Amino acid sequence: MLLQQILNGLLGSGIYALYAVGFTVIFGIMGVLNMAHADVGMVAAMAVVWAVMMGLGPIEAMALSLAVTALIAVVIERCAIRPAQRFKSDAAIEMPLIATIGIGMILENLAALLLGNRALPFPFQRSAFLNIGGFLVSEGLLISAGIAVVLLLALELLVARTSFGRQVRAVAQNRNAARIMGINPEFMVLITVILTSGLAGIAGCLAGVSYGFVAPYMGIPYAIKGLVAMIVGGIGSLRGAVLGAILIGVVEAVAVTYFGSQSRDVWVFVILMIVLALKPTGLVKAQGVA
Amino acid sequence: MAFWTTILLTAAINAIAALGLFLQIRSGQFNIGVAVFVGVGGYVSGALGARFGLPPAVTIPISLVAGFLFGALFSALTLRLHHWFFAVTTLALSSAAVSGISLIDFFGGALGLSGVPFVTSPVPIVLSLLMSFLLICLIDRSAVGLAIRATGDDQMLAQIFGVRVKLLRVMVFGFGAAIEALSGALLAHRFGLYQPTDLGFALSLSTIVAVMIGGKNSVWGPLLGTFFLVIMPEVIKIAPEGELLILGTLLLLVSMFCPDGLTGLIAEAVRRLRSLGSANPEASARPDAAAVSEGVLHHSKHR
Amino acid sequence: MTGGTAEPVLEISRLAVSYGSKPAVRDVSLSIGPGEAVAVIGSNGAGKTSMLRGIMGLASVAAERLVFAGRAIAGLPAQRIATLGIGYVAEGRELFPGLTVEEELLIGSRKLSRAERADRFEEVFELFPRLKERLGQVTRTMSGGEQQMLAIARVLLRAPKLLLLDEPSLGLAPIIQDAVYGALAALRKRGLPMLLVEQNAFRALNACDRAYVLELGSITREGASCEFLDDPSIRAAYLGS
Repeated sequence: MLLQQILNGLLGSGIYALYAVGFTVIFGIMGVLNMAHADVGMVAAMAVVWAVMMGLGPIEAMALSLAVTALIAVVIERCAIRPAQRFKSDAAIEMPLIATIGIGMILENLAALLLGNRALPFPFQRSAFLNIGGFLVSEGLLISAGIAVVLLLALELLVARTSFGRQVRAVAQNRNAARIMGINPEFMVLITVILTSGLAGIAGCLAGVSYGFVAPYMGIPYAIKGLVAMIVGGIGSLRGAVLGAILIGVVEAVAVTYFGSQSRDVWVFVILMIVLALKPTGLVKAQGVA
Repeated sequence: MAFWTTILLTAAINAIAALGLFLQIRSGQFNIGVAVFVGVGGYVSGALGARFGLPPAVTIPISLVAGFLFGALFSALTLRLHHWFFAVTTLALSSAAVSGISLIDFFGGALGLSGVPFVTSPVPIVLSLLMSFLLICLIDRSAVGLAIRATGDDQMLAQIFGVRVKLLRVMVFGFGAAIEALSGALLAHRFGLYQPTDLGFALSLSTIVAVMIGGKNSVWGPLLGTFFLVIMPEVIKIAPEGELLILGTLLLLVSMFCPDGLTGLIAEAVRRLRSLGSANPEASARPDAAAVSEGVLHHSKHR
Repeated sequence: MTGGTAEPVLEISRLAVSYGSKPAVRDVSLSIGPGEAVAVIGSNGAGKTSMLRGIMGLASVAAERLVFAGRAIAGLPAQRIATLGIGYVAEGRELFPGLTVEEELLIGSRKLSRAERADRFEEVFELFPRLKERLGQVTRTMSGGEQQMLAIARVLLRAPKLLLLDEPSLGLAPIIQDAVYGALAALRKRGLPMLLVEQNAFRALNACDRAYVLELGSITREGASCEFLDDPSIRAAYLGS
């Protein structure tokens, strides 16, 4: 029973990890917390729902979803992230925080107004259960965990081994030095925001696939878990973010069996407080996106 | 007329919470989970009244103390965190509180607290607002207020100038939480109940928007912002989602174009008018973090 | 000796650099001809670093004329100026603290083909053999001297047409300074124009053909290095004798 729960938690943490990694990369490269990140995932999923409602096939739905996600990413970068540069010290941190909260509110409530403030069934859900080695595994969760693993590995490779990844890390570590090496930091930030928004979009759709439905305000719990995973894992570390996500996923799944599903959010908070008390810098140490 | 009195009284109660948030933001602790601390006041005062029959005159002060303690404790636990990471913990706290409170029977469980003794007179509300406003005005203009601003602007710099940042943060957050609790207690006694969802984001977001729109750099900001927000939905009747959509848009626009809110715009206009008249435009230059911190040092020396 | 008929690599006329409302450089005019190594000396706070940052586009400038290889560069973003061919070696090196030596070099050579990269790497390792041994080392763990060499190396990979160096001897032991300046001498022999800013006037003057004196944001003197080295007032003010 316990192992079953741990397995469920592990699989579910794939989606958390995709969000957590997005928060981490944006923070690493720009020192900004994008509070609208998880809402972007919700919008991507909603776009798929809407597209299918309008009679589009799965490929077109995905394309539309990607386009919408990219568009929102550019808006976020322009309105919330780029302006942060002209502020100094701690004010520079507050402005994008507030701006992205605003954008998040806009996305959530636009979705609620356009598609209704209720849970909508996701067209490509996989809620069947498979029996693997004696464990009951949700097909959808298995798929999302699998896709998450592939994407996370790809991201790790991208950041650690490619020229693009090096440039992203360079901008994160020393903006001026990046400039004198001919790198355009603003452009790198834009591409990074678009990329991570894409990850968020996929995460949102995977949530739809795994749990069968999407709702306008579904981004909020994911944002909290993604952010907490990032802090718990060690700010700026991709591996830490994944670790944090797994920790949250597993603890949540196990605790929910013993304490009821109402206690879910309480446990996320408890994990955060415990890690802050014991290891305030997080589980893994990193230098400007690693 | 009675309709507007109701609206204004609700606005007054919300303005009290906004004042508490204002103080907390001033010290650099961005509290996205305001509703939780408001809820502390509502639940403590309400439960003591509903369960033990204690009169509001007793339970409200107790809830203020509870608010202060809870706030101070939370701040003390999160001292290492700055600005956004602090904000994230308040976010996590908020969602944990909504779930957590519904597990506690003393506070009415999932259905919430009912049977809270009513306070029908508007006098406590108006008095509370006046007192809170005056208190925060006094603090803001004192040496402590300067220290708070210095801490909020640049914590490290403030420390260099001799501000006891940790103590200040904890005290200020606790005090702000007490004022937020006051607001919650008044809410509980006004409506006779308090529910877990009241600890959620709706109230927190609207309070944040109120402070941001009104202006986070002036004590008048939270007042202006709250009343603006309360009047608006009465003038434009729309669904709650539409209201939140507008609030979100306002928040975005304010942060992009006038980060100091309405009071900031007014102050800027006044400054421009003044410098048109005076010969020295430098005199109306804005103080930066260093100047604020130096002011702290100067002020504390010349006592 | 100076310019002559050939077009100057860098031409500056009445350059001013300010941070907000505070002027750091008031009036600088200088020029660097093809293959010339030019030094700018002056005391602390004279504005030497600000001048270089201004040229590089890292600070806001106003100038009558700021031309590099025939192109006006005032107001261009730093990454554009870097791509046009100015290699900037900043005071304090400004490396990427979490990257390895190899990664820094890869960033410097990212626009090159495999073959070109291999060739350029060989050239750079010839100048700085130490770096070849330290490829996997993270830059923030390197010594000051190694960092300085890396800072120059990564810029060389981009085959710059002009090298700007800000206090390359700062904080380094004399032996290490020798090594760095030895490399600069080799580069000078190859004809790479450079603008060298130094507080250590002796080193700078010996490494360059011509020199300017910068004080309080303005150029006060100009002349050949050998002149300066013999000039008693210069010696008194900057060479400590």
